Amino acid sequence: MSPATSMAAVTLGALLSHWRRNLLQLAMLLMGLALATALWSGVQALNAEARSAYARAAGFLGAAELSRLEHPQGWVAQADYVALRRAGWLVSPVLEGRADLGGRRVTLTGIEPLTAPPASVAAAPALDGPDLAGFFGPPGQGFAHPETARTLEAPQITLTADEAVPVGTVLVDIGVAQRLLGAEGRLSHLLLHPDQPRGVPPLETVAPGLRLIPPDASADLAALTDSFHLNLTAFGLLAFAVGLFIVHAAIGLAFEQRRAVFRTLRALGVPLRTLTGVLAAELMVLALVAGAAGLVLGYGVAALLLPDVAASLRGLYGAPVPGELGFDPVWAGAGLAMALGGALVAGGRSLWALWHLPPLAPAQPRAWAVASARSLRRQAVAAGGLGVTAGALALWGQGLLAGFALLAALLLAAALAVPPVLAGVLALGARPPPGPRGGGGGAAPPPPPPRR
Amino acid sequence: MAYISGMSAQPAHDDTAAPALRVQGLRKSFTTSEGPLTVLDGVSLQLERGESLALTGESGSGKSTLLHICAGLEPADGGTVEIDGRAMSGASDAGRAALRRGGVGLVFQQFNLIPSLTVAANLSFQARLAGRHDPDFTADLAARLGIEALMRRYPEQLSGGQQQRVAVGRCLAARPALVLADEPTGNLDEATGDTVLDLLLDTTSEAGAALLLVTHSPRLAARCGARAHLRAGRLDAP
Ligand SMILES: Nc1ncnc2c1ncn2[C@@H]1O[C@H](COP(=O)(O)OP(=O)(O)O)[C@@H](O)[C@H]1O
Ligand SMILES: [Mg+2]
Repeated sequence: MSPATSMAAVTLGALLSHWRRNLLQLAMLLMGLALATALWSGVQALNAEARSAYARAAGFLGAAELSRLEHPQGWVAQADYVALRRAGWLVSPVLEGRADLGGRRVTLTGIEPLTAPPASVAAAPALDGPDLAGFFGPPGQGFAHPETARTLEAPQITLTADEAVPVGTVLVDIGVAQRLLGAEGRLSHLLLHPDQPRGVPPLETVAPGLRLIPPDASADLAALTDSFHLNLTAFGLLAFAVGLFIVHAAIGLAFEQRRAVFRTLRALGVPLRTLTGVLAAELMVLALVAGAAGLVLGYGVAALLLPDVAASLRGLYGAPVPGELGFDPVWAGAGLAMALGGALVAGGRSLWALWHLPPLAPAQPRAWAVASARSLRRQAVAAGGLGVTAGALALWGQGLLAGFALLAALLLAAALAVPPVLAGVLALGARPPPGPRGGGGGAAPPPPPPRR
Repeated sequence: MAYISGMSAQPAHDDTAAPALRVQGLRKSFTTSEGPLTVLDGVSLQLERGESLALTGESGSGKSTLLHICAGLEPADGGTVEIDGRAMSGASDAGRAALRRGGVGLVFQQFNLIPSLTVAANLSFQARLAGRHDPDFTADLAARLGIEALMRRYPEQLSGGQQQRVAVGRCLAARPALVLADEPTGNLDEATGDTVLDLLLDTTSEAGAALLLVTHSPRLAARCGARAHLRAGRLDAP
């Protein structure tokens, strides 16, 4: 080990020993950070799972890319489909409806694999497979999301699990769908190939009742559910902020308690740069430990909540969100980064104070008191500013974001205001009671102004 | 014999070995609410390894300030400080820290042990920092200071005298050229203080380090090899 690293290691050992002797403080710090990370990353996991479900639904059967033909009154007659094909139009039939399959209500989607446009087939790769025969012939094959497939007992069809199918949907051949839905001769809409041959007769002459609908913008679940997710995010962020305040307090307390130790370390020959670096490293170690615990906790919380959240999303918006949580390494990385960043923010003041801590205890406590009073005043001003911001938001703010900012401003203002208010109250208590010292009835002379 | 400005001419000494401490023309003043306060006004002194110097002076005369400047914990307004031939004044924070780590042992009035470390860890701390921890040497030192039975305790479980012995051991275990002690017995009762000071003087000279001892007590000062008095920013004979 090089002298510099061994010096840093010896210093780190001395700093970490503080926590061994102050386990309650350590627990407070770790729990604050772990809870903050858990709630934040748990919410992120819920949002990510729901969003990926929306993306899946939006991309299903090429809904986002293909135009379609619909009938204003609802059903497209199978005869219209036949007429269009005969006239040379490249169209493919789709039938959608709700059906009871094995005691569970599902969305039944019938398609015709032979005419289906490539973009739609790409969204259901199983249809590219060799067993197309099984797809048509009785009893008929169906594809469903693994989660749906597992809970479904459907004697009418043989089910295959496929991740590409949205939760709660069963994909079958159009004929099977017509039979199961009791909709012989009827279709929901026709998918239009992106490249139509030249010279086909216009739509009005072949199938005058049908209307051309451009690629799907309507079923944009992501937009529909935005406020729901913003709510969740705001909640997660607030929880994170509250956790950070706990961490901030724990780090600040540990800093105050170790002020003398920092001075001793410097007197014994630890350079300021090393000391600050080691304190930052200590913070990072604690943040990594707490962050990892927070991720495990957050995943647990999200897994626990997802079924209920999915049920609300389905009930409120008809969004097909699965009740089961996936694991995303990017999510874990972001959670850890949040824990590290949060710890740095919470400990930043202490690091800054250490960087400016004179190596000697002040000979005159006055100097320290003046500096401390100045920092208290700054804190009070910041709290006041945030309070005014909160007031303005309460008066003129609109919408969810403003509400969230209002809560955050109030919370921060309260946290910043506590130390100056406390100091003020203590100072009032410490002031000597008015006595006969001043003599006469005149006011006592004002104390000399503090010198800087 | 320690050289002190205004007392005697600089003694002849082996030119190949630099003095443990050489202070020349040190000046320092503070700005206070009553205006500038000159605390050191041209202080020079020199200490060889193995020598001890007792520094006396009224409270507020600048004894601690002088020690802090020697240790590189406070900047001077003018003059130079050399530890073992290396310049403390003018060095960077890292340079001053390195000089302290390897060359200067500090003993404070308040002991300043690290409360979360055991006596054993405190004792070897500066030596480890300096990268020259020798377990046998430290064990001998602990025995010499009579604290070998306390190694597993924490500072809060020790008496003041015991804590100060650990602090003395901590600085000597790093084998510094110079020990700076600022009223090391100020927080101890007289009997304990005498014992600790005996130990400090003996172990420092055994270790071949120079000792600059600040004390109020003429009785304690009499035990040192030389004495100096700080008055009006200058050193003179007591
Ligand atoms: N940081 C400082 N700012 C202003 N004045 C100081 C400071 N440090 C010391 N002093 C003043 O310098 C004088 C010498 O202090 P000090 O060296 O501690 O004296 P001693 O140790 O001899 O009692 C005292 O009057 C003290 O108030
Ligand atoms: Mg003093």
